[in-house]
Amino acid sequence: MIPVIMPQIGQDVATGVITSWYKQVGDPVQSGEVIATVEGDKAAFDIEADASGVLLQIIVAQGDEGNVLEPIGYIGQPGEIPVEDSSSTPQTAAAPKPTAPTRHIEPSHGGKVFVSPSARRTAQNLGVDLGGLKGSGPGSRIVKNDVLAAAKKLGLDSVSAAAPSADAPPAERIAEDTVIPFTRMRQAIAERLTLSKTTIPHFYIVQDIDMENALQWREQYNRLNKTHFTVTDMVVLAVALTLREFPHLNAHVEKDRLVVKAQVNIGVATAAEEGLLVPVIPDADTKDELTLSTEIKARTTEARQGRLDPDVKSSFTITSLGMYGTQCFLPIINPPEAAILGVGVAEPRPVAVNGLLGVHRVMTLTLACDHRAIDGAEAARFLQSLKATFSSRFQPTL
Amino acid sequence: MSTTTAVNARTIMYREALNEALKEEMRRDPTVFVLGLQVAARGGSHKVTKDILEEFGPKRILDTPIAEASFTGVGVGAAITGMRPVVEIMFLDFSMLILDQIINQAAKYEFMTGGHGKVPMVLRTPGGCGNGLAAQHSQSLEALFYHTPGLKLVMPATPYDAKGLLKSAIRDDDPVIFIEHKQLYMTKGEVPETEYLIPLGKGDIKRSGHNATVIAWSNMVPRALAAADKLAQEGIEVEVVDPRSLVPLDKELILESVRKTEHVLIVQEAVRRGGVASDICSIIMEEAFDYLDAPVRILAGLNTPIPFNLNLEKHCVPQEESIVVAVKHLLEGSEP
Repeated sequence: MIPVIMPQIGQDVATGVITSWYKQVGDPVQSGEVIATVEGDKAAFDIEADASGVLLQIIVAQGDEGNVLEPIGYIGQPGEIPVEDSSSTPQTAAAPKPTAPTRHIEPSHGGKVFVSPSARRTAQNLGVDLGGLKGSGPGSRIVKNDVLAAAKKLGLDSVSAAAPSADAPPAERIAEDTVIPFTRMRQAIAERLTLSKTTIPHFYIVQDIDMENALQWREQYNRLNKTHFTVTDMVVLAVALTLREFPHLNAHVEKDRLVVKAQVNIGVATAAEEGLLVPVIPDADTKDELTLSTEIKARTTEARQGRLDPDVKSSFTITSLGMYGTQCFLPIINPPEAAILGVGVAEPRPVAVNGLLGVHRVMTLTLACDHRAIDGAEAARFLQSLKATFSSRFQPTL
Repeated sequence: MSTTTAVNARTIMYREALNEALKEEMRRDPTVFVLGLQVAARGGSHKVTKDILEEFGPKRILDTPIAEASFTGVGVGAAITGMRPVVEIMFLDFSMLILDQIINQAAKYEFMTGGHGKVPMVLRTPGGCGNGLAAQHSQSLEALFYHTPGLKLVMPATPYDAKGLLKSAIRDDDPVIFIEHKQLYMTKGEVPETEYLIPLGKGDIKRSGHNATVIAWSNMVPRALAAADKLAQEGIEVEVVDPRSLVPLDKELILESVRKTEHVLIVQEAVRRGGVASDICSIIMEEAFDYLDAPVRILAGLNTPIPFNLNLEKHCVPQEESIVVAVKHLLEGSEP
């Protein structure tokens, strides 16, 4: 659809009167065919059609006055919907509609409709047909606001927030992917874990631990001490004690050497609002249940409040997804450590007990190791020993 | 200031911030030294090198003859041997005397030695107009250096940026052209007591807004901010983006803002023809075309030498009022 423009019929002439329309709305027109005559102060001019099609609409009726360089009608394809709303029948539109005072109205560009890139993109996103739009930009360029207004009219702005009011910020990126820049914490996580996964040769071994006795011990212990010693607390304690016998798992690889750490400092990976934090329990192998449990709670709370002590470095990390019901997962080593233990849920499973089928609570542990520091046999022995620590340390009294 | 404001910040002048940066880097690194016209005994024409002679002695700060090409050559040579010279050229206009040393030598050395040679030199010099200093002391010639591969180009607008960027420029292993602005030397702003660095290539949102993006650097930043204040009274929220360093350029920051506001005005004190603004415009066209709701506009200096007469001078470069008008035209879609 293209507009029929009132020509500039003389210098300093602002308006002209349409003396004749030679076509009715709906009549076919040929490009170059005279379709109307306009009269100015001094002369009359014929107006030719810029395109072939049908006369879709007459804006300035015969005998009426219109502004130069503004549309007096529209030519389009049969069936196209005219621009103006249907309530004003074109023929009876007595006076030219007062158009918004646009500072620069240019004649039609040989039938081309100009659309700003943003308007084009918005139209595509909202499913608005640009063909029916009238541009409010310079040279009748269709700008984003025209598309948003049309979308609103057509009810295409189902996300009502997408059609902004005049003073609201323009709606952005409708139906587009959301880009969330990394926070500093996410950046740090990304860098450290990429470093780990790309430079540390990981291998994994998996071990089930029958927790029935240990959990019964825990229930007794908590009842007696009126405390809440958690499964994670148990794992931290058992791992710390077992690590004493396996110094190579409590170590850092530095280029061409292994640095065996003097202290057993257990990191406990903790989910936080923005990512992952690892509060550290120093000398975990020297602490009793009560001390350890209190300290884990305190350090975790501090970490969540952003009060991690950056000077206390972990030497081995434990990460648990048991609280989400996860059975088994493959953790990424927290660099520069040599190993990390992934802890699954302790849940009832069928097990063979003295040759009979029974139901015990079983927990799956996955150990990820840096193969530069540790070989498979040693890692397997560690898990074996860890299993033994569980049954010796957490023995319920009958 | 949208960047970090330290708790213990105090308010100091742009030239004092530069002075602190020089002293801190000279204390930190014995290879840093300063040379230029009247920099030592007089403390620099713009007082940026004040008291350096007293603290560091005549081996670390050298008064040179009026021979820009020679002493800049000394700087380039010293940098090649591992020193970190900071050469001051009294007016950016006079750097036309040293283009061979900078463009043919300093900028090329690393490339022509297969990456083995470095020229860790900083060239400090004030540009811009505003004082009625006429055509030979008022130019904005950043485009010459922007155009030359091998150089970094920094143009800070605030005391905070000036200090943090000069420190980074001195530590940088590439030749850095550090263009200050005469009108900014006496402007004040918050600068932390504690040490900080601003990486080259990281721009700054000096004011955030959603209606239009105004990209400006050096002395055009305070003008753009003043214009933004005026426009805000009429409900037009302008985002002022200061790239701070033009090479490397924080393209992502610019594109992000363009995608948000969809309307862009680039304000440049330098003459319009062949300017940095045109290049930034081309980047936006290539990389954010689909987000534009109106053509990118450039408000730049007229294509003319700066006249001596102050009223004419004012007419030749963007002012607060002309930025206000340009933003309105940008949003209304009227002709430039």
